[in-house]
Amino acid sequence: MTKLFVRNYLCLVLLTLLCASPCFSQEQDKAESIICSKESIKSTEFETKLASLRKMNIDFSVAICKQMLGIEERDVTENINPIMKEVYTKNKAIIAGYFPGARFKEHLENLFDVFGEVVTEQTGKRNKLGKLAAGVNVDNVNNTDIYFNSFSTIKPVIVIPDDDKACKVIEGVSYNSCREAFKDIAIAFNAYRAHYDKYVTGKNKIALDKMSDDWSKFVDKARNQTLLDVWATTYINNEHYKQDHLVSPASSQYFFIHPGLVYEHVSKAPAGEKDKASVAIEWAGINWWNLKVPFGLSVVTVYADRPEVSEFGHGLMVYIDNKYSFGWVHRDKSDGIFFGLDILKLFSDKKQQLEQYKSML
Amino acid sequence: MKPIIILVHGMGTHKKGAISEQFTAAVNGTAKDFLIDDFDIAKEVTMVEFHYSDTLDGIRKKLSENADAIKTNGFGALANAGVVEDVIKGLVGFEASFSNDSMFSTHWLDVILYGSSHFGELLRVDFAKLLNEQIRNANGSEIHILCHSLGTAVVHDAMAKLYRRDADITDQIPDLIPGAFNVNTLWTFANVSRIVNLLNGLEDPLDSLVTTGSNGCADYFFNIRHKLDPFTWFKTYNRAMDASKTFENEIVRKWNTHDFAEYVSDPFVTQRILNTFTTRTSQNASEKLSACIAKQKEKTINEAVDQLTIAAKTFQGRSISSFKDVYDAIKAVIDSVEKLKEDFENENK
Repeated sequence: MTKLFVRNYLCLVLLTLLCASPCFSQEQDKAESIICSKESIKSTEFETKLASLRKMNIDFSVAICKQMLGIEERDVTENINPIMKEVYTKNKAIIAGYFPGARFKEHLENLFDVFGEVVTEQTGKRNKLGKLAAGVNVDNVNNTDIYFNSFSTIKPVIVIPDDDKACKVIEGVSYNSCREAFKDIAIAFNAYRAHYDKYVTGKNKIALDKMSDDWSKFVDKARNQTLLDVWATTYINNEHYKQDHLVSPASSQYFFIHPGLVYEHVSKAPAGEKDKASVAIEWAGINWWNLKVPFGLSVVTVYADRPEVSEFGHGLMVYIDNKYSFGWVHRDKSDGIFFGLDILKLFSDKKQQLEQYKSML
Repeated sequence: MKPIIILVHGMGTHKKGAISEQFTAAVNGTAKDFLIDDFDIAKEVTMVEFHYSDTLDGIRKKLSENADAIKTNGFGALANAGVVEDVIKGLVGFEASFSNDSMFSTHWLDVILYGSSHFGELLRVDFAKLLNEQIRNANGSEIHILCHSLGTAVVHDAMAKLYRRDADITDQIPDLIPGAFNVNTLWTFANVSRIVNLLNGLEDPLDSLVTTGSNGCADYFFNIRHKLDPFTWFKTYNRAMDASKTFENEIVRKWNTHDFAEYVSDPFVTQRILNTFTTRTSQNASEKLSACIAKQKEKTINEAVDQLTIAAKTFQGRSISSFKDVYDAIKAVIDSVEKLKEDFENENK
């Protein structure tokens, strides 16, 4: 074995390790910022034919944004409740007012009253904004359900015939059906939570983008695994993946009866037999794939058929940077040192790898 | 504003755009009997695909290539290694076969990779990311999710983790409040979430937050299965909830009763789709529905109906306690039907 090569290889590994401080990579999460202004909601957002209703609710959205976001929990309830009371009373007056004489007008007002009770009786948590919706009745496709979608278990629904004439014209705007009319009303009404929706989904976007990037990194950079390794890793990290929320990949990989190719040197073997391509089996191993310098350790057996030397050597393998491996095994009367052929990932032709590796020794 | 429809495909390799095309063709084909002839669902909605086929194909390919490298370069070194040689060759040989086109590699392996490995979380994160982005950019548009087969498990599991009772906008966990961020409708076609749940042991689909209402994540839930689709015979999804409807399709125009397009083009299903995603109402809807059913039934493959009915009587009600039980049962049905289909097609050439 060329001492120069071994010295250079080990120096490279040590240098990489020394440069790793700290070992764990850290990333700072970016804080989500939101501008509580009318201008931050574009005209194409919550687009509706009912412009004045939309405008009123965008103003409410700004007020909620200023009072809810970035404020201490204990202040939120006091600040939000009065705004929500206005949201409910003013919208009720306007929307019910669209249907003078309609058979469902009183029911619509009652629907708002229930919504109003629910959203003005908040006790702390800032998570309580509902949505108006219009949908197809499950029992009769010719009827439309009008309801508020909220956190409350009380969910009254008005069922009206889709072709009710009361919906034909609202504030000079024509509609083909009650479903179409109420869908448009709902868009204008729901604009009152425009900033809130942006804030929540914005927070989620930061977290989910990072998780998705972590998974991409795991697939691309972590050590290659067999299906058995994947199952072992999944099983051992079971608690991590069974959490009630989405997660990034676990920080450790596990290996179980994992075969690999190595190039081994046994100094006490006969001439011409000292260096051989061999199969290594990692019986059990662990790899921390996402450290600043990824590191792994495995218990290994290397098999090679040589005269005068036992076929099986048992020892340890070290993995660095998810790519480079080296180790030591003990055989009767002689030890072997080996390097993984992954070191030759630099070269594209796998058949050449063995020949090129041999020439380095 | 057009409603947004998120489409999620099932097991197997799917090209990007394929599920949108299948959905469009199926709805438009049946819609001719309900509305005017130039109706095009693609103009009424915005379709967004959650495409995970490439991700699973990539994982499958990587497993296969790694095994192949060992096989090509390492097996020679194992000569005379006895039992060790047999074990290694067995393990490596199995994974090297993942790149072939057998039904196991192209379909069942997807279910196994999703259900039994950590790669399932990768798909759940990616779906949640897409859904959150659609909610973020909806700006008043409705959001609807339609998922088929393995897609029903991916969607269920992802939404069960995204919608949380403990959701708090002040922490760093990505989540949505049940009841406050519900999608408008959730449609599951050939719902196999309970079968996949045997593998991953996540939230029970019969008990999770993936339901309607204030403790759920959707306003309406439509569960569609086919009487003669073997994938729906075992661990059948049947959950009682408000604002929901189950469709049990019966028309058999193809031997493959699991086909997504056939599920969608059932007259009752298309009628519900048209009423949900468009605001046009149809004159004389009930007469048109009857006419549509009669027309589709003219193309019934009676042989397929007979054989699948026999298979249903044989296999339904079988005791199922593990994923292997399900796999064995469905494989037995598919193998028997494939053979009969081949004989039928040869006779009718």
